[in-house]
Amino acid sequence: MDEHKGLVEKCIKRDPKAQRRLYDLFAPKLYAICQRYTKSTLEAEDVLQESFIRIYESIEKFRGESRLDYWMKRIVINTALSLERRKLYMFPMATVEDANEVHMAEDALAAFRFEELLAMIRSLPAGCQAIFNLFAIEGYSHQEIAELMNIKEGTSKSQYARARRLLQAMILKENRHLYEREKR
Amino acid sequence: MKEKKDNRDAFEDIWGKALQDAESQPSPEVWYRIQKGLNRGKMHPWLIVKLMAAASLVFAMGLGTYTLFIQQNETSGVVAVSSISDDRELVPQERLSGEALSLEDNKADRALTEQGIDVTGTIKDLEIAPIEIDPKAFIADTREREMRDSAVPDAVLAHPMHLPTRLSAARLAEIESRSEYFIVPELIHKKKETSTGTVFLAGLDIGTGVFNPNTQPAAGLASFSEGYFAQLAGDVRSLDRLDMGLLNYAMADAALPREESRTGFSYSYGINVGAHIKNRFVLHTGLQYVHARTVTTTSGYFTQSESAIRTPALTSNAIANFGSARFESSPSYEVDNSFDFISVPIKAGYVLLDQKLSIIAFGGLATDFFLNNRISSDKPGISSTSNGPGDLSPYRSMYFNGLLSTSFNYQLGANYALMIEPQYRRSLNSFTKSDHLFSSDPHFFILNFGLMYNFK
Repeated sequence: MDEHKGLVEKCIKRDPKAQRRLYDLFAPKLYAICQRYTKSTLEAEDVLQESFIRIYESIEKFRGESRLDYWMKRIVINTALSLERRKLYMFPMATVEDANEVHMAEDALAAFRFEELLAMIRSLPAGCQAIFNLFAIEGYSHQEIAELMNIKEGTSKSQYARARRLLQAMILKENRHLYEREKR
Repeated sequence: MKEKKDNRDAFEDIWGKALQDAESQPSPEVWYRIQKGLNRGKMHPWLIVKLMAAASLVFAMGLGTYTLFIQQNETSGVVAVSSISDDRELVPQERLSGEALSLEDNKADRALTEQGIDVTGTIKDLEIAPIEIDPKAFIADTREREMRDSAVPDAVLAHPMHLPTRLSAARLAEIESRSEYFIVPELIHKKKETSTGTVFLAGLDIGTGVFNPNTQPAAGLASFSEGYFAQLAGDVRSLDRLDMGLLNYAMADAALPREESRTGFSYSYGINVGAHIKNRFVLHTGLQYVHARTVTTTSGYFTQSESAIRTPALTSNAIANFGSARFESSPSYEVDNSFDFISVPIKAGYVLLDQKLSIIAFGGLATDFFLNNRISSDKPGISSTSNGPGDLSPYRSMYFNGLLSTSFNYQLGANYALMIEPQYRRSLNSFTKSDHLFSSDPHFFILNFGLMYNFK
């Protein structure tokens, strides 16, 4: 936080250069997050634009109790969810127990570029996509996800399970790594 | 955030490691749009300049009108200032030539004769007999409101160009030492010039100014969103078709478009024809092309069902897209909302000042024929759309404006005049159809520049 304290103070004063500096520092990482929560480059840029506007308009509320990049990331995720909310329909699901599980090696994704992984995530149904991002990448619990998205915890779990199986199937189809198959 | 009870395993770790620190560069346009979003609601500096220019012009009009019109009455209409350095300048040329004039031909001589002065003979023979003339009689005092003819010696009045005698050098020196004096012979009998007969004029003009569409939700609706939602839900009173099956969006969750329009600018060009009738009355008409543009903020777009083309979603083009497009919400963005008209003004004017600089006050009516409304955005992936008059347009094909203006005309030569005309226009009836769910009563402040030719 200390390394960005001066920058935050200038942004609170609406210093255009400080705002641009903040954008240059954090936009690449936040944009990658936007891309994971949206279906297209256009939508991702919309989310990034709206997120930064919200960040600049509420930066005086940043107390420094958490890291600046975590605070900004939360704003981005909330913005992405609020803008995409109407598209977050949920598919009816088979139960988790019915599925075949595939174990992946630690380097299973090493051969994939960011754009390829992004394409896989974007091919998920919108609700699954958001929940996958929140649980697997951001580290939210299903309970937190349920509160955030105003759904039931069980729905979060089942949608995540769906997302997980779909991604495993995509990676399996690519056949780029050795895997073990285990029936539960 | 991580909890063991959620059964995380290597799958989440693998994906987390692959994507948690991923970075990607957005396009440079994103920063530009962020800046625009931060400046939203602030008055654009250019608009401040325009408003200041308009205020300065109104002030100049008032000051100019006061200076030219009111103070004009206080001057004597002097045509020349001259200090006489030579007595001969005051001597009528006829006398210089040495010819004697008969009393019948020279009223001045008659007047002098009545005063006991012998005017026969030539200059050479005329003895210098200075006449005591009150200097004030020869001085046109600019503080006087009107020339007092009675103060001028009768001899001068009788023949303005002639003085019946020479003033002595001493007398002249005395006058000069006191003040300047003016040769005003022509103005003594100068009649006020008035226009007689009808004079026809024609000219070209261009104009630029400020345009405010003045859009409001229709009476009974709290906001544009409510009006918009009502349209999309099928409450379109002017249409018969209600094909809700093609309108695909979650009505309960739809983020309704936030729409607001700002004051924009306009320009126009065209021809003017007119006639000066009687003394101070004029009639003008013409034909003008008017282009008006405003910036509207919205937060949604239409995606055409067949072509997947995206266009900005405004209340004004909702009906045109009804049944053929899907509405989607988006972060707020700005669109250019421009209108094209053909305008036919008819105005009557009164000449306030009729000099080399003339001032005419106008009032009248302009009939505007709506040609086209174009909605465009520089947002990537959003195409522009145009709508003309017709059933699907919320705008009338024709509406009326009242107008007030003041025209300043500066004469160039005998027939040409430069014209500057600040003009205010306000709609007399709504630009939108009466059964539509928003209203628009535009008004303009335009500064016209023109070149006029009068057919004298």
